[in-house]
Amino acid sequence: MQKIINFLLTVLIIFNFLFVSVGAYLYPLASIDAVSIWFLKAKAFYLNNGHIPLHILKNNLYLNTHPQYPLLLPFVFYLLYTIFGGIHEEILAFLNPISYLLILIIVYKLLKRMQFTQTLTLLFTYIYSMFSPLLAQGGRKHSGDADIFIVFVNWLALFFSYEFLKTKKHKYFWILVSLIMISSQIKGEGLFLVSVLFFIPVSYKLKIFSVIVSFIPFLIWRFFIYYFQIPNDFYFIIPPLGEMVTRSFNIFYFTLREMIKINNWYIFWPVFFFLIIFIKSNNNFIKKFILPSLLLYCAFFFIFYLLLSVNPKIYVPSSIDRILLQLSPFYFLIFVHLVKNKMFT
Amino acid sequence: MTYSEKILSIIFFTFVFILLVKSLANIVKVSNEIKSPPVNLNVQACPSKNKNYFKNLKDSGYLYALYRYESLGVKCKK
Repeated sequence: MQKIINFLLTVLIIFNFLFVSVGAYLYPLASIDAVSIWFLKAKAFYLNNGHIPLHILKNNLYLNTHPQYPLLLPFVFYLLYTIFGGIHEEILAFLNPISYLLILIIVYKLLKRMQFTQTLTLLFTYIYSMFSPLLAQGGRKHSGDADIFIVFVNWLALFFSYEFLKTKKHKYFWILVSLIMISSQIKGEGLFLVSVLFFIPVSYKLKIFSVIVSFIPFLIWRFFIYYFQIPNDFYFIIPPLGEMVTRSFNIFYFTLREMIKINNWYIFWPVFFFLIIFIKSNNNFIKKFILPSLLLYCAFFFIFYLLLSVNPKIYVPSSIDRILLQLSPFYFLIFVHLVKNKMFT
Repeated sequence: MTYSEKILSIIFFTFVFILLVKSLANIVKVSNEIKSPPVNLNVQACPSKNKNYFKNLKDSGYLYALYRYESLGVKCKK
């Protein structure tokens, strides 16, 4: 019986990969961010033989959304264009399904490392593979968007954190630091992954040093922006106290509203909150590392929304699904751990 | 089994059941898409082909893409 269940779950996971791949094939460039930010900058790199003239980043006639986004992804896309021998955006669109598959492999590997049975590992990998925002980013009309790469890096970060906590080998710790550096160069918010460094059990000195090191690419990019006066379509403000209260309310309200969207999350969030309220965990990896890292990561996003020039009432509803997706490696591990402990031991 | 464990089991397996139903719906969706592919929204060599898709999005980057393609000698329909 167990073999049949394992087989069915494997088939369902493979089908999901095919589902996103068909999406990437049928709608390779349906996402406005892919066309107007990521692939556009990659095109500029390619058409100008490996560099972006500053006027492209500074002139909104050419690029009017997010000129301050880091250039790592467009540069990688440019390198791929040189390998392909031309601008083949329809091929690049398959990077998203490939990332989707790699994410599922990491989920599977990590759960196996955490001593889950084969059936439970496949069941939870299947559950994760069904999250609608992940399917969307995997290729269902969001091919070319960058959030899935942050999700991928976040999963890798948790995988190597687990390896480090298990083995105490410092190479895993420095891989983690490198991943934070990479993440900060995918999108600015990728830097929030630094929250994991605050809770990893290393000496205080090493912790401070690694946080500083992980900030280096971000600071270099900020210096570049400042020095060359690259404009942006948003900035940070300090709103009056009354407005902060309203903004805080809106952040929570629109986040909760997203969580009850059946189309995106089914009944995941009610199940998750039920588990959090009624079930206690004594697992150190979850209790002392994943949970506090998640809370700090959420706090960074909360402050980001609170101080952003764009009102949360407008910005949160249009972005919170992908933010929740970026956070998913953290809360999904809490979810699987609690379900396993209460139902399958 | 405690009361909370019973409730948890019910809602967890309901959740899994919903996912299985959704998977079936996705299978039907893909088979339909393969049989009759959707209207092509792709923006490949000539972005202006899909002007309507972008008309409300104030996408001057898109115009830049068009400009660059034309500067390469690619003729795009407008």
